[in-house]
Amino acid sequence: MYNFTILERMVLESINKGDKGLYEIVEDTGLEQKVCENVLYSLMAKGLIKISGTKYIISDNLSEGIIAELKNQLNMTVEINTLVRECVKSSLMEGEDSFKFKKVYMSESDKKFLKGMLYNLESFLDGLKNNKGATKEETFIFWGGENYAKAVNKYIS
Amino acid sequence: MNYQNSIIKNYRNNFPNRSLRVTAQETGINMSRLHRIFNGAEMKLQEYEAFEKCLRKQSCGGSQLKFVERILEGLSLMSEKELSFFEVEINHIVKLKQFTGESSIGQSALAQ
Repeated sequence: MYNFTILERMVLESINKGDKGLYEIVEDTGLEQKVCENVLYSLMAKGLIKISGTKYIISDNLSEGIIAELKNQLNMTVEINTLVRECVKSSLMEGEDSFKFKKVYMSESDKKFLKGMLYNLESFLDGLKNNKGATKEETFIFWGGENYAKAVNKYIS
Repeated sequence: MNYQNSIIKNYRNNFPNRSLRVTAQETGINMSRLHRIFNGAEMKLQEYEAFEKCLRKQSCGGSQLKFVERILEGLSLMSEKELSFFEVEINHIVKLKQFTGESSIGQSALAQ
């Protein structure tokens, strides 16, 4: 498996917004130049991007194997886990505001009320989908919830 | 080179002056058996583990060794599914360290 990482996804997303040269990618992603060079090397070696003139572009003919690797659920779980874990760490260890966690008992009507609020949140975020801006300025948002016992039992099973 | 030769070579590189008697004490393998192993007799699983333990002791401090042993214990208890997840996590960490230059593994490894 290719093990697509958060760095490769970020660089690929940046190029996907428009063909870019190295310095434009550095500017758009906020990553160090050396890191960008290493990521670009890896993406090129895998055939995900190529050079056209002075720009990096997404390859037109990605093989089905590569696409399957990019969509691999185990890999995506680890990718998302990496980002969420970072927020949990910042919040619990550095007192930042990037992760909120509550454990409460909810009646059926409370659950319905929450569902309505989450629906509104999702609609609001969907409305922002077409906003354009630098990759480094994007914000990721996550929400969800699970029954306490179900989560614990799933974890230990 | 097969794994047995590699582990013995590694052991001899790490302990060039260690006598058969001391090796026997360290590994718990008796001297005549050690002599046969050093002359090509095939090692048993417990003997591999004894050599590996000596090498780990050499390369890690006491607390690190305990940590490595704890990891090995954890790995042996994990289900297939948990192992797959752990493997991907470890691959991610290694790859990210290569991208950021914190790993000494060269560019060619990045293409893996």
